Amino acid sequence: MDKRAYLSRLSDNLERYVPDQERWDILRWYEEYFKDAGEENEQAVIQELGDPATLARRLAEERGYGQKRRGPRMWQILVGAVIVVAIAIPLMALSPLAQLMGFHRVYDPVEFVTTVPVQQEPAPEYSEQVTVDEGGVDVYISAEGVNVDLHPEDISSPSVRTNGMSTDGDNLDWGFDGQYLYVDWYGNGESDQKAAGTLTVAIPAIWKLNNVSVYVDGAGDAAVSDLPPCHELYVDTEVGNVTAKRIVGVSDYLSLHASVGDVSFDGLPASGGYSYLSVETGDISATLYCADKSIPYDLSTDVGTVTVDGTSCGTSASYSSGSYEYDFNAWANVGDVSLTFDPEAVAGVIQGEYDSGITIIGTFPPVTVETAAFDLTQGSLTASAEELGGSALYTNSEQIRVKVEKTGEFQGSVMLWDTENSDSFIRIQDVDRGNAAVTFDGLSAAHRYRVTASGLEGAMVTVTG
Amino acid sequence: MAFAMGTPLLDACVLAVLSGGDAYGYSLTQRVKERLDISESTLYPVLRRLERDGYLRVYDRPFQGRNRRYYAITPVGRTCLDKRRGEWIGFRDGVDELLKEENEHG
Repeated sequence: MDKRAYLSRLSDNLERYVPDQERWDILRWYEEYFKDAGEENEQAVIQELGDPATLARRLAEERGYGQKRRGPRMWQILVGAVIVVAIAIPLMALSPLAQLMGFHRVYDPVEFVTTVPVQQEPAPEYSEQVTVDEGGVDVYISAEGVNVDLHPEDISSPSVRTNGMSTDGDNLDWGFDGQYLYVDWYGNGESDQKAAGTLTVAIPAIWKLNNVSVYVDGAGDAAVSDLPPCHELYVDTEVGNVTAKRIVGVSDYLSLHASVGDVSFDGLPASGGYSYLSVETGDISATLYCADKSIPYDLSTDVGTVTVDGTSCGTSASYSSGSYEYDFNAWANVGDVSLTFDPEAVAGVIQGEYDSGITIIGTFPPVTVETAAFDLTQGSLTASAEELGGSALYTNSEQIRVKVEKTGEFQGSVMLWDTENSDSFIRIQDVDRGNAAVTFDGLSAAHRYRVTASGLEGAMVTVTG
Repeated sequence: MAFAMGTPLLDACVLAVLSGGDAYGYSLTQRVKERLDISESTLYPVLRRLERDGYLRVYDRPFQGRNRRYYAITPVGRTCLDKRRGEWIGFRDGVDELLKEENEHG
C-alpha cells in the first residue's frame, strides 16, 4: 500500500476510537512524519509504523480513548475557543488589529523595495558577548490581572509598590532572602477584566541577576527596562503588551511573549542562545542592536505585523545549528513583515531562508518584505500544486472550490487546513482525471484557510472562494 | 529489555532534547530513537501531554509548500526538566548502589 492508502486506513480505524479533532491532529502528525522521512522512505515508514489498525488502537489507548467512541468532545474545544474570542474582542484597541480583521489584500508577487537608510545617531556601545557571573539574584514575578513594571533604581533593597491598589495580604505576597526575590500578585479571579492597576517592582541597580521571569495571567501589560546582565529573561502576558527597553545583557535565553497584544523590544539579543519575540494576535516591533556575531532571533506573530529596525546592527555573519535553517526569522502568518537594515553598517552577509519563502543572500540592502493572505473575494488563485500551500487564503463564502489540471491520468488529493486554528488539518478530497473539481462545503465565511495538494506534482490548481 | 520506561522519565527525555533547540516531529522522533527503543505510537501522545501541561509550545513554519509543526520547550518546561534531572540522579545513584552489592549469601 502507499502512503495515502495507509493514512486512509489509519483514519478509518481512528474514527472508531477518537473524536474528529484528535483524529485530524494524529493524521497531521503522521502526514508530516511521512513527508519529512522523504518519498524514498515511504515504504520503510509504512513497515516501521506497522498495521494501521494496531497503530490506531495503540494511539487511542495512549490518549485515553481506549473504549469505542461515546460522543464528541468538540464542545470542550468550542468552549475554549469562545473564551479566547471573548478576551480578544475588547482588546482590539491595543494594536491596529481593526485594520487586519478587515484585511483584504490581493496577492502580489513579493517585491523588494529599496528604502532610503535612516540617519542614525551613532549606536550605543554594547559589548559583543555578555558574560554573567554565577551567584546572581533570581527575580520571579507572577501577577494576575495587573500591569507589571520592573526596572532598577538607586536603592539598596528591592521595593514593591502599587498605584493605589491595596497591598494587604490577600493581594500581594513578596519576599527576598538574599538570593531569590519573588513577587506574587493575586487578582480577583476575573482575569478577563482590564488590568486593575500597575505593580512596580524596583530592584537595586547594583544587583547582579541570574534569571528573571515576569508572568502576567489574564489582562495586564508587562514592562521591563534597563536590566543589569542576567542569564535568562522571560516576560509573558496573556492579554496585554510586553515592552522591553534597553535590554542589553541577556546571556542565555530571551523570550518575550503575549497571546493577545503587542511586543516591543530594543536591545541586544541573548548572546549565547535564542531570542524569541512572539505573539499569537498582535504586532511585534523591535529595534535591534546586533553585535559582531550573529545570534538567532525569532520574531513571529500569527495575525499581526512584524517591524524591525536593524539600522543599528553591526556585522551579521551566518549562523547555523544542526538542521535549523534560519539566522533571523521574522514571520507573520497573516500580516506584514518589514525589516530595515543599513547596508553601510552591515559589512557581512545575512544568510538564511525567510519563512515567506524568500532567500536573501548577499550584501544586505534595506528591504521591505511583505507577505499577504490571498483574498479569494478578489479573484481566484492559480498555482502549481507544489506552491499551493504557501499562503493563507481568505474567503468570504462558506465554500472553497478546487480544480486540478494536469495532462494524462492522475490521482491525488487536496487537503484543507484551518490557518486560524493552529493550521489544523480539516478535510481531504480525492481527485483524479474523472473527478478533477472538488468543493469544500460548510466552511466559515470570513476565515483563513490553506489548501495543499498531495500526489499531484506537475499539476496546476485553481482555487476559488 | 526487562525495564519499562515510565512516563515522567520519557517526558523529561523529550524536554531535554527540546532544551537543546526547537525540533519538528520527525527529527525529534529520530533523536529520541537514537538512544531509546520506542515505538512510533509513543511520541505523539507524549508531546500532546507536554503541550497540555504547558511544558512545551507548538508553532508552525512553512516548509516546501506545506506547514511544518515545531515543538519548543517553555520556561515552565525547563523548570520541570531541572526537577526531573535531580530526581533521576537520585534514583539512578540509588539503583547503582544496590546493584553493586555483592551477593554475600551465595
